[in-house]
Amino acid sequence: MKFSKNDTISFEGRTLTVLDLLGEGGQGEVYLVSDGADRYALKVYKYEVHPDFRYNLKNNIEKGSPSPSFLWPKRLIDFEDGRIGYLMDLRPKNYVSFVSYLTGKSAFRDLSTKLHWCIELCLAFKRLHEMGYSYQDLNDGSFFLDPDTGDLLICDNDNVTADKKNLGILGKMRYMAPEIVRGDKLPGGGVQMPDVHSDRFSLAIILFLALCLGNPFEGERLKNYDIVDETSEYEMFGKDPVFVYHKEDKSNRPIRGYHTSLIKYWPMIPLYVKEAFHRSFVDGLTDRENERTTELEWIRLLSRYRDETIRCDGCGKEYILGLGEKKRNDVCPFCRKKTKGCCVLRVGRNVVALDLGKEIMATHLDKYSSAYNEPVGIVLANPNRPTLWGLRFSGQGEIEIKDEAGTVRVVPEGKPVPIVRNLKIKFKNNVIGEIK
Amino acid sequence: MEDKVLGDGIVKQELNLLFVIDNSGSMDGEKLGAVNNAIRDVMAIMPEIQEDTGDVNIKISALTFSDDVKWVYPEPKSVSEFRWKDVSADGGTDFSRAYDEMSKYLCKRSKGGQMPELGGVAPIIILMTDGMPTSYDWENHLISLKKKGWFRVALKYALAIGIDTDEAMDVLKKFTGNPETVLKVYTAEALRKVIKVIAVTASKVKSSSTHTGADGAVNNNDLAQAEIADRLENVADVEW
Repeated sequence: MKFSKNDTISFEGRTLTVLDLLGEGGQGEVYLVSDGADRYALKVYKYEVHPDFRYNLKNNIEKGSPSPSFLWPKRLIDFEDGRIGYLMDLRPKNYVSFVSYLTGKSAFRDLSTKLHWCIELCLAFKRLHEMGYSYQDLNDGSFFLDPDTGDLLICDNDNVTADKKNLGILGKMRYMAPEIVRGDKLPGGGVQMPDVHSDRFSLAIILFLALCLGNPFEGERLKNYDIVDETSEYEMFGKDPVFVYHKEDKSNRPIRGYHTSLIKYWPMIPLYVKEAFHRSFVDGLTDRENERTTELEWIRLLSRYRDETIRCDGCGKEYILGLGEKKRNDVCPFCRKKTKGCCVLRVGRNVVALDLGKEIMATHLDKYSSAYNEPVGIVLANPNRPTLWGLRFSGQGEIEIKDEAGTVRVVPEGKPVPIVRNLKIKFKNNVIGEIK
Repeated sequence: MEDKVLGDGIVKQELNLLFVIDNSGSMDGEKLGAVNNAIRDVMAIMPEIQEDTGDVNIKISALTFSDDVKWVYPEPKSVSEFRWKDVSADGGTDFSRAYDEMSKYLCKRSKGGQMPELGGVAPIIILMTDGMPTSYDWENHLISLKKKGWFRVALKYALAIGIDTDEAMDVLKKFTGNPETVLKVYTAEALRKVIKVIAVTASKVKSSSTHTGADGAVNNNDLAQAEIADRLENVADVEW
């Protein structure tokens, strides 16, 4: 039975009023409901679900959301006809779907914002996995983004289960790990079900899509198939997947004039990120437990990527300095304008390009921190002399600086540290940074 | 091939939806009225389906056939480009010519047809008619059409509008190759609903790449067919 507008649902002594149908899918419907005070989304399953599914959902609700990035189920509702549903918060209006980004209908404000989103994604899955869950059905339809801030929202969290348990769903073909597509037999009986390791493979696919706008296994081999169907997808994504940028096996390269975006964006990502993709999509095909780049590894690599981006004064686009490349980027890859001179801040292993607006994160100054997306400092221009730039920190207390001549000065909290070459900076806990 | 590449978007697969409409004289009146109405309804919902998928571009084509055959557009159109023009009725029901036209259309562009060179998924074909073929050799033409890979893999539905003879039903069963996807429709209202349910549900299911369950890889066509059956349960005046 479907609900109509103005139908009411009694639940926990409250009355929910159906305001609208928000969406409809294979599993059920999602309604906009109100309890008089607040509005929620209500998902109602079309059929009676398996008791295990209900138990799992109830359990997830009780354990709570891994992080604010998840639009997590809040309350379970049992209907009289035996069906179930759950309440969740509404998706705020500032979020657009990842699909709309993939199809070119919406765009991240800039590369740093895109990397912020990618890091958020890895942080969210790190947290999910730390709680002993696996997501199981990672695909492009579950993710949303705020194009201006790069904030992330993950929907469709009802298949999340304790790792190594499975409630029947395997996933969406082009996003699944090959062993799941193939249904590999396990030595102890049964077949390989989605788990943390297959989540990691799918996460790498989502990151690849986000950064390169292409599928990592769809290239020349597409030409072998007149029509894309279950068989061809089984071969390309399950039986014999070949990474499009495999170092030795070049049989599945992107097709010129067809995979245009992928061909355009792959060369622009840093070598260390390329290596991480290669590892996941080549070595990780067979060694699922050890060769799939983990969330923490991704977070570190993507942070490093963000740290070395600068904005071109000519076209306004962001690109990397190329600190980890064989050759640095001496011109902008978009407009060919010469790369501007830019100081960097070195703290420990971090190297941050000090371009205008660049943020210093908590993790840069504290190696024990996991706040990779929490800014504690920003590069600003002097309002009176815009050519003079400084770093303004917050929550760092007094900062001691020493210039090239050896002059030591204390910068009070909230005042900018001038950006000049060879300046040494002493932060809290004797953490030393240097501007180069 | 150029139209498949969005500026800064990913490459999408192509899903073709074909309406094949009998506009012979007997279709005149409320039957064609319902068809015209239904396709307009479908077109109102299509943009949402297109927006929700990062996997496929939906392309729409429509062929009308009576004594003559005519494509509404010479090539498949995207959801945003396709504009429906009301079809009017006249003449006989020349299935042979319709099948020939489809044979020509269901080839790769490089071979003179309208199907994509790369990344095309199995099409959806919805045939609607109210009568018997007026061409005697239609079966030979169907044999040729069935040689086309694009036709063989397509999700095919045939709507028998007010048809009651076994002979006429057989013609349609031979077309779909599956008695379960030949539907008898008795009223204009039912026809409108059935067209809408099939076109919308099939596009929706087939535009999201295969979701698999523990029972193994699920065939996209089977999945669409199951969903359509489910949704048509409540439509009156339809017989399977």
